[in-house]
Amino acid sequence: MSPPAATEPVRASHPRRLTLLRALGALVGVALAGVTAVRGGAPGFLERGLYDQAVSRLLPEVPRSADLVLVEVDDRALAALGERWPLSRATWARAFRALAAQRPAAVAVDIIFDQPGSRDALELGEDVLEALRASGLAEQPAGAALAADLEAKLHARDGDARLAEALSEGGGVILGAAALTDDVPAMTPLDDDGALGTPLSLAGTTPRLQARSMAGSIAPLRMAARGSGTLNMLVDGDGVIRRYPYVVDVGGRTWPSLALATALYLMPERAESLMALAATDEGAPLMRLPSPDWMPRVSLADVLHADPGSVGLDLALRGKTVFVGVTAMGLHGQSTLPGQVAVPGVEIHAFALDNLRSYRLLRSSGLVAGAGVLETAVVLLAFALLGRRARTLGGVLWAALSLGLVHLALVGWLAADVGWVLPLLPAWAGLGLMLAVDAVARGEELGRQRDALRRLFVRYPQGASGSLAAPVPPEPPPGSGQ
Amino acid sequence: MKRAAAWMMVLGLVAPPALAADTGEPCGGVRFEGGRIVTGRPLAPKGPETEACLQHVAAALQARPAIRSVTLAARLPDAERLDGQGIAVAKAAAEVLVAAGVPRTRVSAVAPPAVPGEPGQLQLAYVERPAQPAVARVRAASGDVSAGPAQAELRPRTMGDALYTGELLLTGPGAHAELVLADGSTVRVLADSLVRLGTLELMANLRRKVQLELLKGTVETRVAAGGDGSVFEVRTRGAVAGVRGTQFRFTAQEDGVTRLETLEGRVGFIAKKGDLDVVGGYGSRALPEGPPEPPRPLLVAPTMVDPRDGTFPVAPRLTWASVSGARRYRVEVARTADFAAGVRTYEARGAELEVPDLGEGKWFWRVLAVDADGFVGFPSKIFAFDVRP
Repeated sequence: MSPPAATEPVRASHPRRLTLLRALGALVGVALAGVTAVRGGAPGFLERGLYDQAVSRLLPEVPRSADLVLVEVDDRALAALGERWPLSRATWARAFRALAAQRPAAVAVDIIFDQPGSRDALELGEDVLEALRASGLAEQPAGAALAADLEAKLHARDGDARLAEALSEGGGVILGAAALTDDVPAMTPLDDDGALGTPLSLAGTTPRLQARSMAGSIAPLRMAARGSGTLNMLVDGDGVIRRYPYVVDVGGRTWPSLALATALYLMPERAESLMALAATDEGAPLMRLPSPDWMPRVSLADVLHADPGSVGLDLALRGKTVFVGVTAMGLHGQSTLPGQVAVPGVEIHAFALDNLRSYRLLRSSGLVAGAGVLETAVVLLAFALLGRRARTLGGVLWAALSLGLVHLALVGWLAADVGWVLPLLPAWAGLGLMLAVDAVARGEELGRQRDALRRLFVRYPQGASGSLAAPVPPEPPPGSGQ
Repeated sequence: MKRAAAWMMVLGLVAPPALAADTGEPCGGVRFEGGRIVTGRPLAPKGPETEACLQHVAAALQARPAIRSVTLAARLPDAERLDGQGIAVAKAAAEVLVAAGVPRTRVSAVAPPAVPGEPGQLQLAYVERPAQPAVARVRAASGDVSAGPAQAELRPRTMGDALYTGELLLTGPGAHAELVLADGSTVRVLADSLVRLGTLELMANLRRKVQLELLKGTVETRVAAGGDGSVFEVRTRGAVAGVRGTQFRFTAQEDGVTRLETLEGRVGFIAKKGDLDVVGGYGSRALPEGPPEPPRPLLVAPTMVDPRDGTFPVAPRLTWASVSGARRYRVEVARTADFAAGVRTYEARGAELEVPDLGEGKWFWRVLAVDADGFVGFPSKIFAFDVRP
């Protein structure tokens, strides 16, 4: 009755092979989680789409802002001003002066004034003035009046100087700057390392965004403003912006982004905690998404043309943090957020400031990435144990589904409530592989049992249903010669 | 006053560009750095020392005609800025500059808030006439690489340096430079070459106009894709290579012979007495005052034999398979696989070479066959080896 001796080693090696294959499946899952951790944390390459859908549809949206306002250079503003982009410095000076009159808490500018304004007309005027004085005409009353008038007009038309004055009147204007990386269009780098002020002190953090140099607004404007912050974004390979770089490293010095520089200005008493938070995930944490029309908007046309005493303008701007940027068609860079939400870049800075000050950042690297690997390993280990106890394939399938759902719930809860983004797919991939191994093994085992039964039934064939009680003569042993 | 100004002019011209005055005078030194006027010691908002320093700054400003305007900031604590006191201090300081000869139309005053905890001080910034934009940057350089507006004004250049229209770039013996042009094209300037950067205009729809002048030596160019109507030309004394393709070498010999080797695509070769298109895999040359010769096939890439990998205590003997028609071989050894850094070039008559004194570390090598007329063929595959004594 015992099976042939030659089949014994096969049976003995089968459980070992099964265990090895299961372990390999689990290892693939843990390795995927490890790769995700090493590459900066979730979402990994394959789960970006899933992450985008989850973060844009399932996670709670950032509530509508009460004290952040976007002053936009929109199509209406351009039409009302009768100017083409870029606006003249004189217009910008008027705009910042009008904003200063509304006494906002801070003005963050998503624009870099990296080149001086045109001075051709000024230089012509200066030549005329000099000639007037050299001719002696300026010593006569009419000539003196003409020279004074010309001097006043030249003074008024010096856009850079007037803009510097307007920025200093504003009190809390943070200008844009650019960290020059390979994908940033060529700008003239600032010669002086300290041209943007004092670098941040973030010991132990190596920012994700590394640049070779910095570019910023011209020196008089930087001097008149409260500070500068970088406007760079971290764009993933698929063109989506998931992380906001709060800090950038340039030759070992760390500089703040526009959002962080504005936050530090607004909340100096929270400087330490803000910088610690900004250093999350190598200075570029994942962002939570805003709701549609999250930020109130005011057209620059209204700021310039409304009565300075306008109650509406006062309500819209007084004490608020104002972000100034371009939204006119074709002039602003549409940045794509997860879930294919395209917004002007200036909104992302505002949104990053809101994330920072309300501690809404999502973390996925460092400790969280390690936790992700551990959680994946625990899920797969639990499945290995449950799978061994399960008597049927249905039981194994049930265990896999349960653990997969528990894993999904845990990952979702951590992201929504704690702000930890753990990898989702590696554990599922491991579960899938282990399940497949189990299914194949159990299928083979069933096949073997079926073959054994068949052999048994062939050896002891049953009669027709009516003759079940009749004894069946045993099948002669093989090789008996019958 | 005029005499003093003239003396200041002379001082300004003699002084190094960033240091406009010595450290012995009222400001403790004045430097013009990236749009900021930096004084040797902090400038108090007012007082006789401040006034003396501002007069000195005014003289330095007048010696710099490129400076078009100066902004003076009085950074005072909030308590001292009340009721317009801050701007009054700034305007008083501006008046000192005006009285010292800076045109009033070029001086402005602002009063931004001070950094909390810091004492009040005066700061100055200036705007210069916009500098001309860089047309290229040095992406890699090894050996003696220098550039300047004229041969007498060449100064050493290194990785990251900007180059401007009209500048000359010179590579010494054994030297090599790789330039990235503003349109994204790359130009490798081989040893003993002299190139003048001519026009570089970038227009809408990727249209561009690039003109380089090869005065001697060889350039190897990889041209970025351009829009319709784009022009990319390399000129020598006797010929012009107008790019319709992507990769080519262009050589201007001392005897006036111009040689073109097209590795990819198609290049228009225009000499004084005729022109032709040279497609990938072919080369042509033009003698002085002569038409371009009919295209000839370039030599194939040598097949590398040894070493293809491995670690050696000293530089190994490099061997490769002979190429039919090759008179000699150009062997390039470099620190990086793109042959941009630490490039050394050797000549070999046969199909092997003992490389002298290679340093420790990883080295990449490749070989190019050269025919009797100096036409350089396709480069071989690149292999690497390590030297660990």
